[in-house]
Amino acid sequence: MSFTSDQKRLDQNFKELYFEYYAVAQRTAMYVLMQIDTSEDVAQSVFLKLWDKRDQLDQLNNPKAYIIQMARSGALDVVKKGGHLSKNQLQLGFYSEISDEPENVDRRQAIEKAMADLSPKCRLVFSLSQFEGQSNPEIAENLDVSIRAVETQISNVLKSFFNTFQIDSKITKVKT
Amino acid sequence: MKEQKFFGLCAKHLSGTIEADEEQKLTLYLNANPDRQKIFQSLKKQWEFSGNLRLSYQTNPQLAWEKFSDLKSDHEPKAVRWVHFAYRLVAMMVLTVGLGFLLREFGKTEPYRYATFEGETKWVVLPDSSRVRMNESTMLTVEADFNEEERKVSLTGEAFFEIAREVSKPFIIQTDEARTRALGTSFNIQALAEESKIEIYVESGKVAFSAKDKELILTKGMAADFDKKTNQLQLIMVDSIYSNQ
Repeated sequence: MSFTSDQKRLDQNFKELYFEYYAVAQRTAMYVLMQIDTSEDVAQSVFLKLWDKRDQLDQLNNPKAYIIQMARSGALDVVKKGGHLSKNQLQLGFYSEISDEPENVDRRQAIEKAMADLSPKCRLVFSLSQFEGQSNPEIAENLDVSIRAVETQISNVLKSFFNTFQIDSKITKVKT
Repeated sequence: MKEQKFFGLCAKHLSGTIEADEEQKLTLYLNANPDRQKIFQSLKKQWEFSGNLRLSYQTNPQLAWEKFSDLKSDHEPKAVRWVHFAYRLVAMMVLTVGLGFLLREFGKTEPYRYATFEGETKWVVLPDSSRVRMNESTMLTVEADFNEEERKVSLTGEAFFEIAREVSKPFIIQTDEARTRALGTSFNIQALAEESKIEIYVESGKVAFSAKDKELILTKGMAADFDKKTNQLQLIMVDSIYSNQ
């Protein structure tokens, strides 16, 4: 009797974990892969692995960080195997929380384009910082890296942005 | 200031982990370098703008959960595999035990029989490597549990036994009424169905010959018989008996 009630409790705990963090896992994979379908697949496989270990889930002291790290490595595996789409098939789209005036649309599209030039690891750090609103110490904990490593990745992003926008402004100059 | 250092300080400033002395350094540097100031302002604008962006695509955990339920049943997690394994193990054990039990039962019910025709004699080697020379028209039955705790055979007719020595397992020969118990020895037993007497002659070793609660201990060169009609068990005078005394 205690066995079945234990099973029920584990199943319930797992379901709660799933609903709390599925979207986090999916977005994490999406920032790395820039694709909808593969990021959903990665997120599901993260939870399949957790399902196998559902009797140990209460031992996790930071489930969110654990899930983000699993999603990250799962997504990077997809990149490594070349299973992600080429640049012109990317699906990483954004909307602005403030307004979508024509001026903002251009800037938003410029960011979307700039995102594709980043390395997957770099893009994830930038995304957690900007789109998930996480502080550097939070990112460091969630990815299990040092704060210094987070700062380095952000500085790489800025360098890349600088190059991208410099090229863009040159093109604009040629046009005018 | 090198590019690396410059972008590093910008990153720290924008993501909010810049130290006070670094902040001061950056401000002084930007004021002195209008080109870098321009870059910094442009990056800051991009940064602040991107901070308000959110992913257009939003997953649906409810739909994902429904899909996950299918995935996890296809996935067949370790626990389920283990249950399968356990079932297989139990089935295998039941089969093995059952088969062993059946074999044992069948083995038990069938004692092994040796027989000779009229005018035929033959040597038989038993599982304990005792040797038996069967005279004509003789039947020797080896019990199914022969050599387990004791070595039991029954005899009708006449046979000469050379018993392999094994003290812990007495060799017992049942003739219709007399019983011969030996450890390691050789002797002849005659228990002819048509005759009233069962006769034994011991060639070597020591044999206990018993019938109707009486027992004779026979040693080398001794002979005895049992009369089924009179129920008499007696020693037979043989030359060697005298030589022993």
